[in-house]
Amino acid sequence: MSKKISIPDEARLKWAHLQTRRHFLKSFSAGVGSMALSSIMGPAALNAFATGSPLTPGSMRLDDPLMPKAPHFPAKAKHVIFLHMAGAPSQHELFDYKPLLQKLDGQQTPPSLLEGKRFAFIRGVPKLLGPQATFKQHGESGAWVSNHLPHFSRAVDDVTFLKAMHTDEFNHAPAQLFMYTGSPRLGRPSLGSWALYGLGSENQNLPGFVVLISGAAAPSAGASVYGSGFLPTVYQGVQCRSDGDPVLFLTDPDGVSRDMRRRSIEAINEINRQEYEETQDPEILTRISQYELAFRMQMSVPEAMDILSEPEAIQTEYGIEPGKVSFANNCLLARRLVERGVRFVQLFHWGWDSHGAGESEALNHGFVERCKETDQAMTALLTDLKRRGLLDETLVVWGGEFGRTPMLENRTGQDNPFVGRDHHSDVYTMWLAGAGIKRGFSFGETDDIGYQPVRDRVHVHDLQATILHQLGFDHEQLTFPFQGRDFRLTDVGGRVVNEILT
Amino acid sequence: MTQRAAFWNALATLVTLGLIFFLIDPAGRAPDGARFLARQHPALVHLPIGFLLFAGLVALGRWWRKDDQPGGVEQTALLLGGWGGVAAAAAGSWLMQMGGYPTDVMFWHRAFGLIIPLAAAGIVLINAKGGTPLVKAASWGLLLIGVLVGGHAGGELTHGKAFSTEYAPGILKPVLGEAPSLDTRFDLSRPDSSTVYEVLVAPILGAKCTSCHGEGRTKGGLDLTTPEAIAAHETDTEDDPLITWGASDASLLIQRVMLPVEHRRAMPPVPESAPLSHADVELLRWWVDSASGFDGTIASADMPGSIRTILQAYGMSEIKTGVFALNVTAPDTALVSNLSTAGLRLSRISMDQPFFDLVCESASCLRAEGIDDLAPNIISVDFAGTDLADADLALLQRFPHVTSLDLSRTGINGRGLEVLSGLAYLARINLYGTRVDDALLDVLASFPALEAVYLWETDVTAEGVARLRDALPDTEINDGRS
Repeated sequence: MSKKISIPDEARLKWAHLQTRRHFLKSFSAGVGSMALSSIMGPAALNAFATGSPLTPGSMRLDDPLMPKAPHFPAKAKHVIFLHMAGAPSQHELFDYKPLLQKLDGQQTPPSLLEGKRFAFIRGVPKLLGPQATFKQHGESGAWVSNHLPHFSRAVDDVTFLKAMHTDEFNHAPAQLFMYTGSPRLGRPSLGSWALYGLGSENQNLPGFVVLISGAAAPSAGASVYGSGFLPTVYQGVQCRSDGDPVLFLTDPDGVSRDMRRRSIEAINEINRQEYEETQDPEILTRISQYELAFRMQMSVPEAMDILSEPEAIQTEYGIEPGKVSFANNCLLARRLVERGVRFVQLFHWGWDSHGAGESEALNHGFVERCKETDQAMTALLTDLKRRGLLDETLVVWGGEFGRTPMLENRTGQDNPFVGRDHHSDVYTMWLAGAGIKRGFSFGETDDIGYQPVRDRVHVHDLQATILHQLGFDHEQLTFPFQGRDFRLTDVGGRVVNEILT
Repeated sequence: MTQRAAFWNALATLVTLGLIFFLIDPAGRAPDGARFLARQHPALVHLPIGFLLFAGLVALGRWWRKDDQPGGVEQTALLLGGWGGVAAAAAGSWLMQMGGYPTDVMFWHRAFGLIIPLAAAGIVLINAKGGTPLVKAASWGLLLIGVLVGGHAGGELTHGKAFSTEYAPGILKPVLGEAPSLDTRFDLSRPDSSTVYEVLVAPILGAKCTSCHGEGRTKGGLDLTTPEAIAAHETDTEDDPLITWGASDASLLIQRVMLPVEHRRAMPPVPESAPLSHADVELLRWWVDSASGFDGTIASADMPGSIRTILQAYGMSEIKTGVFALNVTAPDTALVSNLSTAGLRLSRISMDQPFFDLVCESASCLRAEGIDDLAPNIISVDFAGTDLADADLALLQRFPHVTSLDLSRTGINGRGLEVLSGLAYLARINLYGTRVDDALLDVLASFPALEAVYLWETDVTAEGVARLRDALPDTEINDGRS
């Protein structure tokens, strides 16, 4: 945003930054600081939004960092739903059908394919492993989908497959960080945070960036994959739960009425505001805004999260499991949140790390279970968004942090009833749908055993650039100054994949 | 130096240059042994020029002192320069054989390059023999012209056209002739009315193809000068057609220009002509792939980002269509602030557009004070799930530029929508979860720009949807059943 941010906004941000770093003007900021601020922003701007208590639903302040902002150019996507299959699902059992790999099943991998390659677990010379699924072409586009996704195979004409995705990392945590923050190391803001920072929030009663987690474990990279990094923390993802309290620590403590809660928050915020006027630390604005949002969310979140209020036909269509944590519940929630103006909904479903070292991570057991858990719900999500007219303005992204090898991984070297594949960063499949993405399209190609890309590769930074593009941003211009330079999600790379856009 | 020696020197120079000129055939293959020497041409060519310039300075000084006796220094420099020039001419001729240089510029470079050693030998002879001042001035002049013109052509060969004149002061430009700049190569000022063929394709073919495949000289029986001739061309049976619309890979025209330059069928052939630039190839492919034919306009062709980038480099401004082509002024910020305070959720669609999305929590926002002033700027209206009633729909008439109308989950039955008939820019209308029925279909069919209609959970019947699909074949009609 550094180049196209409005002048008052930029001035405010720069001003705030100087203040935080040194608290240089602390002793006389009330004089110089507020004078400068009000003369820059102008009286008309200060009066806007000033009416009404910030604690009443729908209201907001001018200095609220979540106020809606205009992107660089008209956006195709107002919302993003990212379905992350944590652990990295195998493309060989889902979308990237290779008859030759079936023929070569059980043969030793030729050394030429292994030269200079390093795998996370495979040592020595592995055997090739044919697809553990049967494939058929589906839809008018003739996309290959395996028998593991009977529901999704009906929706292929709505999506674009990226068959030659690639990433720089071959272990889960760094690869997940790379996918969401553009860097394999900690400390950068996540995709959802960048979206919120650039666009603000449409619904002032709900968080603009919601995270929903299902499966046996949280993503290996932890909360950093939806953290705000060096952006103000107001832009970080808020984890909501479909079981128990939707958002932890949101309910009033015993014996505290809502009215008393309101008055205490008003008092705390008044003190915080005085502190802000003295120090100009933007983190105080974040704190104020979060108190206010939390208070409004006490009413709005339970309503939004109540999936049982959906008609029964819809509940059945998604296959929800009331009272449990499930991917299906989260898909239905995602639709409800997007409908209410939530900007970015991030889903994680764990359990796709099919090494074959045990039943739960075997392609012939756990993997099949994961497919069953997700197939119906993600298809229902696409159908439901589509008939409500929401798919036009909602970008749905599906995929893992990397792909898997066409080779069998056998860690112990002994007879193993379970089959699996190792991590593979050179090529994997993802799909996108909605919001200006081509329908029934496939981009990228792999070789005859699905081991290396042949054409139209898409790097993780390219995907990020494309997602930001659909949200209305030039990924090279959406930046934030930190430690002496402007940072951006795509670091120094990224190309918008124009070929998949309508 | 004696007259006799100077005469034999001139004769030897003439004979050697003649051998170089006639024995090194431009279309031939440079002998392996000469290739190393050939690549030294740029080094060999500059030292003799130095000697000759030095000799020129000595002669100039002599003329200034009115001294008519040329000294040994001047003659030696001329001899070194002359024979150095001969060596450079040999190396240059082999380099020419190694190929890749435009023939027209090469012709001038070679001709004037050969003049230099000849002129040098001539001056040596005149110096020894004596001559009239006119002859002396003419021979020095010839040498100067050889160095200037030959050198300029050489720079052009190495660095491209206009290398030496690009940064010339404005006053010199009319004399030197200005190189065409990127934004004058194609006339992209009216992308909505100019055709891809006439503005982009014809100039590329004209610059690169029609000198051989034109009216006068139809090599291979191919004439690329007119649409009729291109359309009528029939290729050999084993080849693909000249142009297969929608499939550049299966079009002979594109295949030939994309072959590697070493390939014997690559077009245009080297060394007579340089290959097409990447951008030109992309434009030709786009012409074929977009099936623009000879009448399709630039604006109407499906334009991928890569083509947009190329055309923008050639000076095309952004193609604006629909509401974005309208000249709507940005509203007063105070007006937007006031309306926002009144409960309207207005968001500007982007920093570079004067348009806004409007989201309303209730139908009452249609009665907000000042909304009429902002009406031309609003291109999307969202009443989803509000108390909007059919009677309120008449108030939507004030938004003439609306492209997206979300009336889903409201209590309307669509009777009030008739007043909106014919909305020029409406592309999406969302009516799911309302009580609209088949009576509405005529109104929907009246929107000329309609792209998508949402009718899930309404009273519209399956037959009604089928009828609407017939009436609007290009519109996506989603009733949730498909």
